[in-house]
Amino acid sequence: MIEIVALQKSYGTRRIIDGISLSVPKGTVCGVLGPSGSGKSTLLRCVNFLEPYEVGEIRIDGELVGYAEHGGRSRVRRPRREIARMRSECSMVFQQFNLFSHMTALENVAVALVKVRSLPRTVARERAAGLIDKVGLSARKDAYPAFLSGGEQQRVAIARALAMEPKVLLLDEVTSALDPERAAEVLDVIAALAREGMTMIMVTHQVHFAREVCQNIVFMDEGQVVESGPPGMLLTPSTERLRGFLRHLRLT
Amino acid sequence: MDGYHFYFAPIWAALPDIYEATGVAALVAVTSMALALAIGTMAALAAEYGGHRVKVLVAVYVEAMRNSPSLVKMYFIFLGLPSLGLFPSPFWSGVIALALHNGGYVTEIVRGGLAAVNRTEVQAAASLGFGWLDTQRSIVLPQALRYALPSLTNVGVEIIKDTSFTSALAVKELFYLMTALVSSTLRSFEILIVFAGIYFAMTTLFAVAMKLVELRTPWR
Amino acid sequence: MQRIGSLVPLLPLLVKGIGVTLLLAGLSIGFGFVFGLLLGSLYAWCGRLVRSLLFLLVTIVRGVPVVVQVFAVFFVLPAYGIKFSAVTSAAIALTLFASFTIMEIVRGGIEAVPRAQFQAALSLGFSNIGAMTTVVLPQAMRSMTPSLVNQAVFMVKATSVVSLFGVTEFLYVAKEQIERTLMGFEIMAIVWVAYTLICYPLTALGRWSEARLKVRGQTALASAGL
Repeated sequence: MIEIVALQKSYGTRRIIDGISLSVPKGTVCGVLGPSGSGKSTLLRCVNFLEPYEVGEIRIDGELVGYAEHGGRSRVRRPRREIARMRSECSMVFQQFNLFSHMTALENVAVALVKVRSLPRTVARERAAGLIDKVGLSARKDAYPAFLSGGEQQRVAIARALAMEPKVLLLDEVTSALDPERAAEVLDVIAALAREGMTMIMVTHQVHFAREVCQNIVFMDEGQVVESGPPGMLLTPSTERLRGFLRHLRLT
Repeated sequence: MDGYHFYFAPIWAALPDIYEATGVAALVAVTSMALALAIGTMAALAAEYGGHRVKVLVAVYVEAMRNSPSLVKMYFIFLGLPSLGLFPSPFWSGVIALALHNGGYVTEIVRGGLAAVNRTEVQAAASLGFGWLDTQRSIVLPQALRYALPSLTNVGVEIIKDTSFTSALAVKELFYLMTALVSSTLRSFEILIVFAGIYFAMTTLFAVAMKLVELRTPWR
Repeated sequence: MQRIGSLVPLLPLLVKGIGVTLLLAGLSIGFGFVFGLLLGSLYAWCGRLVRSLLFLLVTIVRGVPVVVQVFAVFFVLPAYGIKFSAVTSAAIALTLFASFTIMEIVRGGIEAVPRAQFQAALSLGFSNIGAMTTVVLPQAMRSMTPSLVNQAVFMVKATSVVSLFGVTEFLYVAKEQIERTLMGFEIMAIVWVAYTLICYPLTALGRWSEARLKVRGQTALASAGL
């Protein structure tokens, strides 16, 4: 489903992503772990082209992300409309929720259906109501973000991302801004999605959760993949780097 | 001496004229406000998202408007454009002058409002597949304008007051009528009270209405 | 535009007009500042009655067009036998307007100074007046400067209003010349540029002082400039 080949991205002279290759089959969850500054979030943002990348390829379902299919040295960016379309099929949930503060929870979930997919408002609202129910927030659907707790906001954000019926869901440290109780609400929703077969790439610090839910785990450091493999690898790390990282978490 | 003997009769007699003049003033004000808002918002967006040259153009526009009185623009349009073959009516000379002049202030105010919107919400919209125009229309501008509302209200009040300048172009609005009545009835004191009262009522009602809008936004 | 040479003999007249404009602006800003300071201090000091009265007056001054206020001085005072020259009436009207708007600025500036400062001064033995002049007002001044500069620019522009009453300031003189020469476009362009040249340094000064204020970590009270 998602193929990343020899990806490189730099900010000026700093190489943030330094030759990463990754494959995420359909229906699986890929967890990305690593210390701060390792490029995890940037990797995710390249997948939906919120950040452009210079070298390498990212393909979703065979389609090249961000650039036109030309092959050859000089790449031409896709027209903005296509980039927007591809983004809508590859929804992202952010660490800071990023809900639209002037709309209710329901409107947040529905707005993209109306504006991007051009659905009539009644249909959009119905679908949105269904998704809000799915994440367990029917009672709060008419509340504004300022009045929702962090965990509730994040669940709305997930519902909003799901409204677009994406091929892939990108999760960028979605529980890092939440306290453990609130985080648990959100993790339950994500686990349910995984069971339903949603293809996801999840950047997270929740190592235990990653072990439970992911089929493949990638450990990144300084822009490169240090180790990758099934969750079991976390119990028996091969590299010293990963061992050091996990030591802080006291995994038995 | 009308110190003790207030004599309002000539004013009652002129009531239909006063009605009409108030209507004209209100029309000038509302039209100018709408145009100023449109001009200012577009200029602010252009300055935010346009290239360097556009930013400079907008800055020149703003400075050209802020550093001269609106009367100058009115005369320029009404008395100056005929030399170029354009003959705007007194009404439109006044309205366009007020719109351009106050559009400069609106530009700066809306820029402030734009800056107050969370950049992260724009990213969220992008990740959902929103295009630029939709993002501005649905996400950014509603919030930016709401943040800018108090300052915009001040500009609105100034516009209402500055409609009195259009009397110089012989637009039959309140101040024009005021001077006409005084010269015909010499009841300057009573007339002053009534007309000042009308202006005061207009500005206060407008400010209160805007405040209500401000308070009634449910999303803080 | 070719006939712009014919405008050169007009320049001395226009410059005289600018002189009157600057005179009116200077007087209204100067006296307005003094009175505004007094009124603002009065407001901070006095009881509810005086404060309500001042509040009412300010609201009226801010809610009624300047033309109407100038009109009041020009036409209502003579009814009581008080007659001034056109320029003096204009100066009086503009000063009144400036005084009340500056009073609001001063009030805002004074209220922005933490009350603790005033109390600290008192506890050191300062009298009320001493505490105000030595401790509160100097601090208030710093945060008021951007708003005051903006107000000064506003007054320069406001002087154009009195052209409607026959006062021979810049705009009036320009209009006279337009009626004579019919070169509305050229003359108004000159007027526009002249006002901009006069006001731009002041607005730039206002922006600079506002930026300096933010750096120093004090709240700038200047709005987007009126």
